[in-house]
Amino acid sequence: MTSKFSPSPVQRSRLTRAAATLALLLSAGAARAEVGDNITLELDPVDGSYDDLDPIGIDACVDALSKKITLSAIIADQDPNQDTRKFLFVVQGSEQDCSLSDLEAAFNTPGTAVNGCTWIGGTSDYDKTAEVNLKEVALRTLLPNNGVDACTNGEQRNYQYYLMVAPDPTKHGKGWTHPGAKASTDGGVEDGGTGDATTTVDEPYVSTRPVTLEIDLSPPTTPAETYQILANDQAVQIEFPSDQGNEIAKYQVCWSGGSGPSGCKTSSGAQSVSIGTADGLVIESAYAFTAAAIDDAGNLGGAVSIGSGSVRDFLDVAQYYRQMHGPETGGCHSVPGRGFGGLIGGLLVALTAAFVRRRSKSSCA
Amino acid sequence: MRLIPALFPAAGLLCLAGAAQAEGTLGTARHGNLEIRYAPYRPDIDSQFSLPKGCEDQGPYTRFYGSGDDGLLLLGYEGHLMQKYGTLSAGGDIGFFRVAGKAQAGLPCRPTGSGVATGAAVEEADSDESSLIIVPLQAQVSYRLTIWEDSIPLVPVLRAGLDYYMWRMGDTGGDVAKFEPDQEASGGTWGWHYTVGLHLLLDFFSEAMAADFDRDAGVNSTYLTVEYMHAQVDDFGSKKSIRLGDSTLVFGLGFDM
Repeated sequence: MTSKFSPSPVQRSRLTRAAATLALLLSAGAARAEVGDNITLELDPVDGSYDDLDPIGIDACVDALSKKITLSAIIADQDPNQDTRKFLFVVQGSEQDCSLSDLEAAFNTPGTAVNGCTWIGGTSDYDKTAEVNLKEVALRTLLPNNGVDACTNGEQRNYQYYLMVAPDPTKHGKGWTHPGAKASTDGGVEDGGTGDATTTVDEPYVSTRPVTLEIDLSPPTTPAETYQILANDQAVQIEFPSDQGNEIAKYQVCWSGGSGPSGCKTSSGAQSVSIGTADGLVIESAYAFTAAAIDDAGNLGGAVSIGSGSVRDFLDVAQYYRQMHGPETGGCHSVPGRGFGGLIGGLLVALTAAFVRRRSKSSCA
Repeated sequence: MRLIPALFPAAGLLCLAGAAQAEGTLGTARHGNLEIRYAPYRPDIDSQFSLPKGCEDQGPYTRFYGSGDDGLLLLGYEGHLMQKYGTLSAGGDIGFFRVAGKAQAGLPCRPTGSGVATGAAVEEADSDESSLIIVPLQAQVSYRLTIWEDSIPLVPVLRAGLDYYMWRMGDTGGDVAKFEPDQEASGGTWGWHYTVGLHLLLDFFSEAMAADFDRDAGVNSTYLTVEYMHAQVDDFGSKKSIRLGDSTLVFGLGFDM
């Protein structure tokens, strides 16, 4: 390949810095940007959270993979020493790996996932600028078999996906290492966000840091015992077993049998939940409770019976004070409003303050 | 009227700013006295109720918080006004007291017009609590007989002053409790107090260390304090006010600076 314009090293350096700055400005607000000397890759993962995607459970799997991600990439100033390069979306997982042959196949079918590789478009020769900008792409369309296997095959798996720019292996004629392995371990993928763009044929990639997608299709096991049902004011507090491992994130507690309607409530954590009159329970009515564990992915375990309890009407100290005919009514008692005693108090405070002020002034004189 | 309680710390600050510049018998000039104090405290809430025999432990405070004392912390500063015939000071204290007890059901000794009605058996909630928080503010004048403290390290002390106790009852959810639906159980109550006590001059036992403390931190003298305090906090005898006073021993550490 030839070029009519061949920038000097100084010109190339200036162009590179300008392009990198422009890319940074353009990427402001994106979930993540990897910026090389002349390459910008942006990847907005599902949920917009680059580092900690929530695990995906059975019920949410299909919907989660239908959520949209954004892929955009720019090669601003191709190095004349480089070969043709293309933009790839790569998935690594327990069953999908983007191998060299997969990569070659992917380059023949843009937009179609071949095992772990999808060529998303955009080709850059060394003297050209290439750009691809895919907004609102459903994640599942970039997975093999349209993501169907991910939600139905097996119990739990982790995928890593990332966006990379790679040379066309059919063009540069040299073998290169597995792109996924390079993306996971090499210096070109850095936590700080700057990829290695000083690419050579032997290191032919720039990649975003991988995003981990955890799909958990295995519901948790609900512990069978050691629940406590505590009677409190207008509510019962249910304490969950303390020895339950890390698998359980929260519980769904359901009640039935009382005067009021049956219902369910999900705790915010795995320690306890309070259920009371605000949730529909009726005071002094006995309810039977069941609990079902929920894992981080939202999978619901089987329900177990945890006992019965009833909501009580307890008094706090103010209510008790009043029921004992205590006369206090609260409020910051104003000096004249509380009769003679209050008036004396106010006068004494005023006199004390005036006395102290006078003494202080005289001391300073 | 909310300005009135603010006069208490203000009194202390005034003293701090303009205290007399008299020289002490040893070390640097003495301007005031900083004290950290602790008192076993039990507000006298239950004395307001005429509880018949057999129901003495059914007053609100005892029922919720038991019959023992809990700790009251006090931090105070007084500026020296006169140091010729002993030390006369004025200043203020601020304190903190919190106690919590299980919510209760059953009212076995409810007072009625003709006596005491019996009711349900006492029950406690398993974990819900109701709290009482009191923040005492005290403005006081103190006299310390410091004339002979260099030879006898015991300093007799008299104090008297005005009190304003801010208080708050908490419901089982941690919010402010209510006497009635439109009547929050929080407020402030006026009172007065006096103390009689002895302050032990610790400098007496290690003058070298005391001199270092003075030179390095400006602390002229250090005292270990024990006082008997009687506080009557009921809006000066109002029958409509909660009673928060107590008679107790107060222990502390004082720094004359």
